Amino acid sequence: MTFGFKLFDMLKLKIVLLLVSCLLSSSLLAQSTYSYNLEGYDCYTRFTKFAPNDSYSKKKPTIVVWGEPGLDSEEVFAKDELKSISDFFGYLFIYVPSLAVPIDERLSCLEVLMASTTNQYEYGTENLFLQINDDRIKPSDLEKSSLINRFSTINYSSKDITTMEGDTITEQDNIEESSNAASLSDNEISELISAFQEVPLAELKERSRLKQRYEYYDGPAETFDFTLSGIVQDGVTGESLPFANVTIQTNGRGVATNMDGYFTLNNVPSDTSTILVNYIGYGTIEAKLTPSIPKSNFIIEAIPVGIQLDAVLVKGSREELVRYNDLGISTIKMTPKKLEQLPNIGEKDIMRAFQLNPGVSASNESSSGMYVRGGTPDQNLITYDGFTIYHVDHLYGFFSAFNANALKDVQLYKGGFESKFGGRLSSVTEIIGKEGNANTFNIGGNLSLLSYGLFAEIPSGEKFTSIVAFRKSYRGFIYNTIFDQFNDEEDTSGPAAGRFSSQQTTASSFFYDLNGKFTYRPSEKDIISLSVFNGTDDLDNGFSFETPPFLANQGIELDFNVTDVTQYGNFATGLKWSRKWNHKLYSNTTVSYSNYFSDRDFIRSGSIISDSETNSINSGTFESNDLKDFSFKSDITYDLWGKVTLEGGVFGTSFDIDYSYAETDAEPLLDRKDNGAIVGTYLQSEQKLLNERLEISPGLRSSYFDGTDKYYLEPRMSASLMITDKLSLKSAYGKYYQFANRVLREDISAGSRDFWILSDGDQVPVSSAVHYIGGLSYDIKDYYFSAEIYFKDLENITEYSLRFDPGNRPGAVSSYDQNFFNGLGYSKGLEILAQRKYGKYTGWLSYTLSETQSQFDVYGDEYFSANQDVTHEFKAVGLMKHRRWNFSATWIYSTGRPYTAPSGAYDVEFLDGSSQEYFTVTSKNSLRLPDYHRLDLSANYKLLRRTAELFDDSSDVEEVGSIGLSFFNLYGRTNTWYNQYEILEGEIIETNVNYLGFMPNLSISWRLR
Amino acid sequence: MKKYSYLIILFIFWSCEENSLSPTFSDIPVVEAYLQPGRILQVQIDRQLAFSSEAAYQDDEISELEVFLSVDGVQNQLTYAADGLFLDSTVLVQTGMELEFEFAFGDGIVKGATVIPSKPVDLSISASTLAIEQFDISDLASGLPEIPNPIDISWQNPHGSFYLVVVENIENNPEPTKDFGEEDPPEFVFRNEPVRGNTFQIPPRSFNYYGTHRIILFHINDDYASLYDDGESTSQNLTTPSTGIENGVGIFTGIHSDTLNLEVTN
Repeated sequence: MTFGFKLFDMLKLKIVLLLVSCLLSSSLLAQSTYSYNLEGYDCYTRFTKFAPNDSYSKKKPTIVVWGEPGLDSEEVFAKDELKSISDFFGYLFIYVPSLAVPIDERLSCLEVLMASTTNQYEYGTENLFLQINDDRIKPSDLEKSSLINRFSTINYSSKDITTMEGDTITEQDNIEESSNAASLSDNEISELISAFQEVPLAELKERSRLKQRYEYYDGPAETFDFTLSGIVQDGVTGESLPFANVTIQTNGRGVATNMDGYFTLNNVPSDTSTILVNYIGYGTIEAKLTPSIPKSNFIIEAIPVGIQLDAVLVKGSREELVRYNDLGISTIKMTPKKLEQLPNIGEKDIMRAFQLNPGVSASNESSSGMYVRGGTPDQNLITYDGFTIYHVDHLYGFFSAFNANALKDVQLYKGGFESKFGGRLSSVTEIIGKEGNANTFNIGGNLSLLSYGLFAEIPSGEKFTSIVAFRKSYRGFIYNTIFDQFNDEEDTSGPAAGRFSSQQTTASSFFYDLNGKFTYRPSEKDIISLSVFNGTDDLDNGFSFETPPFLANQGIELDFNVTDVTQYGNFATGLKWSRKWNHKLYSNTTVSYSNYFSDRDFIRSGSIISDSETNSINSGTFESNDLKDFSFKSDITYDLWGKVTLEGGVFGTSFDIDYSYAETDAEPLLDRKDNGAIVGTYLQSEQKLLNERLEISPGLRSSYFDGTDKYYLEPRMSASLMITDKLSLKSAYGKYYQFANRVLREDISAGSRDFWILSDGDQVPVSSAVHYIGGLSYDIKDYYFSAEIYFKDLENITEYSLRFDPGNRPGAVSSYDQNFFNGLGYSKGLEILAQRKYGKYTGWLSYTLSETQSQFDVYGDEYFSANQDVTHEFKAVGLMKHRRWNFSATWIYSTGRPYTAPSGAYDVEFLDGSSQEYFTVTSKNSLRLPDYHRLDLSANYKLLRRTAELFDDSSDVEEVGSIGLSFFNLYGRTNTWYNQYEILEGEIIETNVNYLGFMPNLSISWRLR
Repeated sequence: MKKYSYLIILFIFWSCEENSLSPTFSDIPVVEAYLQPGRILQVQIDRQLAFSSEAAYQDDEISELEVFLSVDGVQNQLTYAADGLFLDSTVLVQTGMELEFEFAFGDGIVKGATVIPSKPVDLSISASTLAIEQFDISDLASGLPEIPNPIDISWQNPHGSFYLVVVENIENNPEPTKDFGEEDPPEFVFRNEPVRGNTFQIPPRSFNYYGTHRIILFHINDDYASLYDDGESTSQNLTTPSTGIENGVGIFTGIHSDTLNLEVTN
């Protein structure tokens, strides 16, 4: 009965369509005829395309009609009745004539024509159909050609219908060849509708998934309890994926890939097990093993679509921006790939993104370097492809020196880090640069209101990959705003204030960075890579004054110049050789050079000539810091008995650090040239106990520093216990030493600055810290919760200050090198995190309660709040995905940082009867800046490109860029950066120097693939 | 419960001692005392001027302070005179005396100590008169005046102590050596920086007036010399004044002087 109605409806529609087609002459129908090949060639033919609904998208089922002998394509089109069947209204029709050539040639010509017309067909071959009206063609003929594989269903006008799989649908009643449309019976129509039935997209995907997961291999396992080793790679670019989690699905046991993407997984139950690979930005990938897979050099390619590769099937799913779970204690991982989802000032910035996490301060807009758990940025070790980067700020710290286009993976260890890292008291940021697309050339670029950038990925052969990324600022809206923000003070306090007008004569300020990585894989076991990191800020805020007319009229001549040139940056390079000796032994050796330089010349000079009298003005400061680090290190990882991993290594660094500070033309107040070397070794292990529920990682690091001629031992230990599958307890302890420190040069009136210096064991002792950390985490399907508590005990921290007179007379100014003050301190805190990992709405809430205190004898016996001390910090990050849009909002609230200010004044009468005014300051850091808060919003629109991929919503398009709109500090909160004090005629003038107000930004990024 | 005991241990870290923040303005007293042989013991005590109108001062009244001064270990309380001046007129300062003062102020004890230095030895001057031609800027046509030789002061200083030379015109209405134009007339005393050597040169242009000048050479202590460094607070650097006074600021120091006269003539 139902069928009857359906048939009736169909007939009705058919009649309607026929009437429509009769009313419209064939020329009025929207068919188009094309030529294939050149006239005179054997396969020269003309074919006609027609879509009843006038949509020529490739994403629709297609019926190719092979016409009867003697008809051209237009005639085949005119005679065809299929196009009038309502079920095929959304289909595409291609009409081809049957050429007057031998049959095999005829088939061959159709093959090439079909290859051409259905190339990159986007809807799967299941939806490609062939209707053959040339009765000279037999099914046996088709079987000899590739046409049988190209179409899912082939229907002969008088023969059986054959499916791609070879099944035959018996045609009970042969369809008569006829040019008469009415000759198609209802049954025939019904059969045709059934034969050419469109397979829905969702079903296609499911079929593909099932086929790949279950049909590829469903035989018995052949190998049991074996060791599997290999590499995890990006399936599109071939980039190795470092620190990805590789686990066995059935028992949850797993390992992490190393920094080159290699892994060794012991005790895999069988060669039909499923391996899960979890990598941020790629979600969870399923790799189903088969007996034929290689047990070593096994490649898992992570791409967001099921593919078949090297006998493994992988499937990607959920994507994340940040990951806390499945990592060690106090560890956060963020993916540079997803950074554009977050609001930004001018550049997507990995360091800023980390600052949104608990335990990392977010209220220091002027520092890209991270304040982690009460530590200062210099206490955070930053390694880039294995070598150390000493300075990460661009443009007064508002942007980090890391170009996201060149980064692959970044991890932050907030404390309790393992023995292979050293030389820092607080934390480690481990950055791994991209190697570049291993498969094909790629190029891309981005443009924002701050800067522009370009990158190119150039593979050469199968063994060489390279990437070069360049970025440069331009003096646009954002640059100028920040630049002026920093330089306002100098503009107003100088002679520019008042009735003189300043004339800006130089405007050459800019920053740039250039990253390059060149990777050569001479064998499957070796990787040799050369990585280069270079960036410079060139800030010129000089200006000059000319004599204004009203002064010139009075015979006064003015010639005044302010030179204010700052140049700082890094040049670092490292050559790394990694070798996988066998599935148990892996080594990694790096030689590197890292240079940080900073020079600031600030000179006010000039003369005022009046009444033949010349008054010269000449004052200024000169500050120069140059750090050179020559390093060598070699790490070896050995997998012992499956459940114990041993890691050890040797390292050595030679430092050459110069610093000088001078005022005006005098001898430098401080002029240090320090050389020193550190050599050492470390050993650490990781063992799994209690059925792998307990993981203990003890380690010992030993260093010798020639500056003090002493050995330093650093025992460390971390442990994690899975109480249940969801609840884990983690703890860590560690001793840490730091030999090269960035010392703060305290300046109450103009804002403090800092400089790198090498410990000398005397005025600048080797600083040390002990970490105690404990935490709980609760990890469920879509959410992650954690709470961590830490205590950090600091000794021998150093600060430099000129506000204390060295106690000697003028002329002996070099004694200012005595003005290093040492103290001790501690930092303690509680961090709470709640994260929604997956879903349309994701994000996290974080709260940090902390206290960082120091005690320096020079400031008294009492502990005082360290400069970076923030008591409460709350951060909320919300992300939303809607089709091609990503929306995000971040809100940061933190209580104010401490500061010191002038508090009072008094006079002392001298022996000559004159008197002098003196100023006192508050006790150290006893004042607090106002609370800091701001809201940022962003919207990001993905630029997509269609590709030939199949089966998945996200895979048949490829993201090739994005357009982002960002609003920084949306409600324009005035956040204080620091206070400046100027003494004029015995008066103190306080100026609040503020952070950035509301700042919109537009950014566009694009890449070829 | 057992598994949570570990956490409790960790939370103990949090309960480490708390440090209260110090007040933003430290109302520490300003002490000023130059103790010179032959003079009575006297100490001037004042308050600082706070920048903030909200700054909290200590309750102590200066006039009610109990100021003690010990001379070579013998302590006496000073008497309050007026305007922050405390004194002991029964004792005269002598060379080599070791003097210490202390008084309670707020929560702390303010104290300081000094030793009276020896009298300068062998003070001499290169000339007893100095002839300076009067200089009038409006009469430049007649040429610049001739510049005489500078005055050299010398003394013995085998230990590298600090000395300060102060030059003072002691006339009642001295005649200027130059035309000051529209500027205010300079003081009769001019200021020099402390030195560590045994000579000091006074350039003739330093003398602004004719007449008798008293040249005083002070033998001073290091803490007084340091005061001259500290007056250099600029916008580039706010210097904390050095002081030998605990829980206070200012100067409590012994001095010893010798004097010569110099006649400046036209």
